[in-house]
Amino acid sequence: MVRYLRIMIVGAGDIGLPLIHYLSERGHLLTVIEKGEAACKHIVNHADAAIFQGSGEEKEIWKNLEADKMDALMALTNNDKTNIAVCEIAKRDFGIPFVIARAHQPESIDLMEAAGADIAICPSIETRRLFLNAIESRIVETLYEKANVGFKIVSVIIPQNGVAIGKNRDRFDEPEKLRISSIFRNGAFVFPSESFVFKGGDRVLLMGESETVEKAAEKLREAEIT
Amino acid sequence: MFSSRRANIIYPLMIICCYILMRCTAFTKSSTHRKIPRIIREIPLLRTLNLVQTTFLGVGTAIGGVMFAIMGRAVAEAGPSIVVTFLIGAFFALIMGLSYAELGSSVPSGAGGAIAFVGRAFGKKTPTFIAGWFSWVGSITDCAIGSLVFALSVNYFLRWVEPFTLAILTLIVFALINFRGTRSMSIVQVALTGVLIFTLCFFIAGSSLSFNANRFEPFFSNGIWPMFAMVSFIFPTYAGYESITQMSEEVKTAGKNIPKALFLTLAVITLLFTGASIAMVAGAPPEIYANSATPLQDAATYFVGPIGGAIVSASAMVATLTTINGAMAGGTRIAFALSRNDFLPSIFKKVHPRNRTPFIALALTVLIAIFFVLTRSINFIVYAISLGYSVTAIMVALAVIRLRKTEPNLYRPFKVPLYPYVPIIAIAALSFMIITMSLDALVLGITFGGVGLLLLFVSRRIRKTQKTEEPVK
Repeated sequence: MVRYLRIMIVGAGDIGLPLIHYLSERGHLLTVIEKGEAACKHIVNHADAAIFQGSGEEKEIWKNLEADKMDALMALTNNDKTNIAVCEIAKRDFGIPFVIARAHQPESIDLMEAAGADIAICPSIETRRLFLNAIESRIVETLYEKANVGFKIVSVIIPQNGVAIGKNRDRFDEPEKLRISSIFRNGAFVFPSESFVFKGGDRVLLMGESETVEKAAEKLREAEIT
Repeated sequence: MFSSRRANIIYPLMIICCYILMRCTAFTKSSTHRKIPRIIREIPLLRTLNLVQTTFLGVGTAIGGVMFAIMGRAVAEAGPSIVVTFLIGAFFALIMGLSYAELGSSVPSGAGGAIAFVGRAFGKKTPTFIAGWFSWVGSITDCAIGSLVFALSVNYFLRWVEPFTLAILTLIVFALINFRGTRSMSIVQVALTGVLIFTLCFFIAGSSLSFNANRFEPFFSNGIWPMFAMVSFIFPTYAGYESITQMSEEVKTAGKNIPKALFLTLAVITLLFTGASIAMVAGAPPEIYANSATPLQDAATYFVGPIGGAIVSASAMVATLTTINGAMAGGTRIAFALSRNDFLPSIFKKVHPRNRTPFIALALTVLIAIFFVLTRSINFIVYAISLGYSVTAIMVALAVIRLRKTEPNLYRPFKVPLYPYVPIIAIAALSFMIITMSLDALVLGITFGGVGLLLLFVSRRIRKTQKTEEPVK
C-alpha cells in the first residue's frame, strides 16, 4: 500500500512547481509557502495544496500551518539565504523529521546542512555531472560526487588499445588521495591483488579526492596512438 | 399517522442515551492521550470529482422533493410574481454562497464543509459543534425524508409496497453505493441528476403547448408584498447547493473547481426553478395546481395529458434519490469532520483503505437516518432543520471575517467581493429569515440546538472524568 506523506514545500519556482504537480497527483498532502501570486494561481489551477502566500523566512506565516505534523519539508526557493533560514525554522522550531534543501551555490551546501538540512542538493552540480557523463559517453562516468568535500567515485573503461594495459595498479594508486577499489572484468568483479595488471575492456572503479581521481581517469582511458 | 407528541419526548431521549452509551464504550479512547507513531498514517480521502461531477452533485442534492411540493402554494400566494421571488431567492442564495466559495477554495482539510470552516476559524469550540451538529442532522434528515417521500411515491403507484420497509431499503442501497467509494456515488449521481434535469426541461418545454402569456396578468395578483414574503418559503429549494463544500477534500483542483461548481450549480437550479415557475404560471390556469399536493404533476397533465403527470412523478422520485445520495455523502463527511474536531470518537475518522471513504462515519449517519425513519415523526425534525441551516450559514459568514483577520496569508483563489459588506449583508439576510420563521420552527430549532449542546456538555463531562481516572489505572 502506498504511504501518503504530509510534505511542506517552500518556494514554488522552477524546481518547486513541477514537484508540487508530481506529488499532488500522487495523492500526497501538500502545504506550500510561496511569495508570488502567479505561482500560487498556477498551483490552484493544476494541483491541490494548502497554499500560504508570503516568505518562508517570516515566522508569522508558520503559525497556522501545523508544521509539527509534517513528514518532510523541502526548501526550494532560488535564494540560498531563505532556504537556510527555512531549514533552521523547520528543524529547530518544529522538529520536522526530514528536511531537504536546494542550494543554488555549491558553497551553500555546508551552511544548509549546518542549519539542519538532512539533504542539501545543488542542482547545477548534479546537472553538470549528468552532462559530463554524456559527453564522455560512459567511458568515464562519475557515479557519486560530494562536491563540498571534494570526493568522487568514477568508473573508467580501459580501451582495447589502452595505454594502461599490462600496467600494475600501483602506478595509479595514491595513498591518502586515490584508491582503485575494484575492477569489473568479464562479468565479475575483482579486488586487485599485488600482481594485478590491467586488460583491455576492464571497467575500473576509482574513488578519492576529486582532482586526483579525474587525472587518474584520464590516464586510464588513454589509448595508444598508433 | 405521524403521532408526534410522544415521539417528541422519546426520541431526543433515545438520541441522548445512544450517544452516552457510545461515549462510555471502549471505542471512545481518544487519540489525544495516545501518541500515534508517524508510521501509522491516516489515509487521506481521494480526489476523484471533476467540475461536472461536482456540479451535478450540487444540483442533485439541492433539487429534492421540496420544489415539487411547494410550487402550488407558492404560485397561489404570489401569483405570477413568484418568478421574481425565485430570482430574489437566487440572489440571497448567491450572497450566502460567496462565503462558502471563498472558504471552500482556500481552507485546507475542508471535508464536512461548514464545520471545517468554522472549526478553522474558531477552533474546537462550541460554535464549531453547533455548525457540525445542525448540518449533520440536516443531512441525515434529508436522507430520512427523501427515503420516505420516495417510498410513499412508489407506494402510491404500487400499493403492495410497504413504504417504511422500502425507505429503509433505499437508505441501505445508497449506503452501499457510498461505501464503494466516491467514484461510485458520483456515477450514480450524475446519471440520476441527468435524468432529473432532462425531465424538468421536458416539463418546462411542455408548457409551451398551452402557453398563454395573458396568465401573467395581473403580475402582482395578491399585491406586491407576497412576492417578498414568499422568499423565505421558497428558499429551502435552494438549500443544499452549498453542500458541495462538504466534499471539498474529494474534488480535483478544489481551489478552482469548488467556486466554479457552486456558481454553476446555482445558475442551473435558478434556471430550472424560474423556468418551472414560468411554465406553471403561463402553461396552466391556477385552479389546476393551487391547492394540489402534486402541483407540477397536475400542471404537466394539463400540458400534455397523463403522460406528463407520469413523467413528472418519476422526476420527483429521482429528485428524492439524488438528494439522498448527495446528503448521505455529505453527512458522512460532516461526521468525519466532527470526529476530527474531537466531537465524536476518533474511530469515525477511519478511512477505508481501498474505497477511501469514511466508512464508519457512513454507517453511523445511515443508522441514525434509519432510526429517524423508524420513529416516524418527521415533522419535528423538518421544523428544527430550517433554523439550523440559517445558523450554520451565518457562522460560515462570520468565519470568513475571522479568517481574514487570523489567517491573512492563507491563499484565497476566490475572494468574497465587496468585503466586508457581502458577509455582513449575508448575516443580515439570514437573520431576517430566522426572525420571520414560524414560531414552531423557531422553538423546535432552539430545542434541537439545546439537545445538541446537552450532548456536548455530557460528553465533555464524561471525558473529564475519564481523564482523571486514567492515572489511577
